[in-house]
Amino acid sequence: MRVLNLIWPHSIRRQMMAIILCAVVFASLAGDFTANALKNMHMGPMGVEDYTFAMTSVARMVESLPTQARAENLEKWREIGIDVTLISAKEAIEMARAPTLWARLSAWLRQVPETLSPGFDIVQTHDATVLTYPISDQQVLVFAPPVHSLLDDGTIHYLAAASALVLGFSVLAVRGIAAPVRHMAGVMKATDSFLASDQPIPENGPREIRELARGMNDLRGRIRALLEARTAMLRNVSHDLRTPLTRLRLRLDRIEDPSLRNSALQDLRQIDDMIDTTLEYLRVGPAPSCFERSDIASLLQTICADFADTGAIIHYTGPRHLVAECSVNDLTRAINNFCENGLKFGTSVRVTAALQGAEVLIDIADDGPGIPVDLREDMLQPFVKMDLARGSAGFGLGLSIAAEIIARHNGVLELLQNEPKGLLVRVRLPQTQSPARMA
Amino acid sequence: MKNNILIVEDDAALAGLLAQVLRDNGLDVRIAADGREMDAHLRAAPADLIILDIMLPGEDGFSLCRRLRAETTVPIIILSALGEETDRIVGLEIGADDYVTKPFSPREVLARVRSLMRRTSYGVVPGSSGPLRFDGWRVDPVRRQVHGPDHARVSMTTAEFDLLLGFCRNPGRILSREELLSLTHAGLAGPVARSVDVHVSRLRQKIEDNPKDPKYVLTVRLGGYLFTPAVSAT
Repeated sequence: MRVLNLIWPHSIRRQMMAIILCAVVFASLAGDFTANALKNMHMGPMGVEDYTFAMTSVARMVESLPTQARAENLEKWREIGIDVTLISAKEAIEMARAPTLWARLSAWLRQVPETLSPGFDIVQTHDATVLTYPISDQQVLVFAPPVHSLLDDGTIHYLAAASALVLGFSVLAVRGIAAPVRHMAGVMKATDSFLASDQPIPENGPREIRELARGMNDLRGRIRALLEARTAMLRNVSHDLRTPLTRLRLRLDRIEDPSLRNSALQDLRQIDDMIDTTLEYLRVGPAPSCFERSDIASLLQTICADFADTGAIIHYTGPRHLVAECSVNDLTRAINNFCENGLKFGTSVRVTAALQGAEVLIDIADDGPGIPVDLREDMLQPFVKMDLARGSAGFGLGLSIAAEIIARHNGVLELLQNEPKGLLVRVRLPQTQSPARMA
Repeated sequence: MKNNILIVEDDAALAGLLAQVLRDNGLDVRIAADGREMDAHLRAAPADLIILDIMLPGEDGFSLCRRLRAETTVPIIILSALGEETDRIVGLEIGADDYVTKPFSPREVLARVRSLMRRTSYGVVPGSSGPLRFDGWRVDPVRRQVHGPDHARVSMTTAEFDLLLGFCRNPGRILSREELLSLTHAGLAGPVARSVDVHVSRLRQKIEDNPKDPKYVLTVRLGGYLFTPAVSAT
């Protein structure tokens, strides 16, 4: 095994070299073998030069014979593979008349040699190309042209080598290179789960692929460290802002003028909300959620009750209990955000829930202006706000955080038109999540 | 009434402002900037309540809280700039009694301080924070989570949870609306102050099989509410 391991080609370069080497060896063996086999079956075609030389000799020899002996002599030549006939001059003229298209094409394909011995002529008959040699005014020798078959020795060698190469390379490409690369691409496609996962990309295949996999694993570690450092820094900034903000909050209470105090408090609340969302956005990050069995109906009722206690018009309709697997805190945050938006742009919000097959359907409908169809996709991106003039509060992170949370629940988020007016946010969640991510 | 409060906060201006609010309301306040100063103050005179910031130079708030809890039962309120649940849970698990997130309003801190001092004066033993069970239900006071008999988590508003916890800690006893109100921080949450009855009705929606014919939370005419099931602490 150790010897095998020593000589086994571990890198792509060596594997390729080994395959080419194998192909050449295979081709020469296979080529020799098939050429011999063909030669044994029949005399096999002579080389073009040999044939031309033979034709010339035959022509000279037949020419030197007396007229009566000529036909008989030709038999001998035919026996050794030279296709030659003797015809009268009249027949020769007849034969050369009007070659068919097929004859022209096959003449082109068979490549009659251009270098002919003196006295020879190329004649296109109606179904073939032949070489003629007039030996007297009366008689003409007709030779079949040399067989310049595609299946000569060189071609066989070439074909065998090529097929061995193609076969070898495709096996190498599929097994050795494409499979690990495809696997790697599959893992990387889900960037978030790739970054969050601790599962390293398997380091197998040729050495270059293994090095690539190792590089990817290192890269993930570095990206994660970088993200964590950034997140920690931003969290600290957000966190540190809270202390002066608290001082400000306590000082504001000493303002005598109630309207001034209230508007100042409102500003402060807005700043605090922005810090909250930022921390939230950073927290949601690429970390996977923990799912638990939870009563979605109670979750929606709780959200509605909390909003109702601030004086908002919001109602929940649906079953009293509806158990599904979710991350309670994350889902609360997402639904909270939809309701908050609905109340910001509309005057009342209606929350409904239902179980549809294996899916929990949650609708949050408001009576605001809604979102134009062409802007709906954009609204889910971070830092996008619908109307800069109106939506002065917040960074525009809310919807993208919510979208991220729904996606993490393997759910679907749709922004639809509410009838008669307003936005209808439809969330569809699977009732059960894959067991691996349950708390 | 005992009213000696110790604020442990490294931001002097913030500590001063907070102290001012508490002093204006008749409380006696001392300030420590870190753990060492806190120890010095406590050696000089014990405190009746400690307000502890988490992010402190040197020994942090969690560590101080753990250390204090090992020695005394003094009520502790933690101040944190990270409103995250894990922080709150850690704080409550290592023995803090309450938790306030920055930026807080003076009213909120004052209410929490008073509520905590009142509870201590009733003789409620701090640290009884293990989960409570009744009829298949599980109530976790630290994580503030409720699980139903089918082990599914049931979400509740702050007031609903406080009420349920109050009921669980006083099973079989008629609780007046005033008592229930004092058990909760209800009324702090928003501009609309709901009556205890509204919160009880919402709670029934979530825990009763038939909210119209409740079997856990019974209304006692002219008295208040009675929590009927047997509660066990595990």
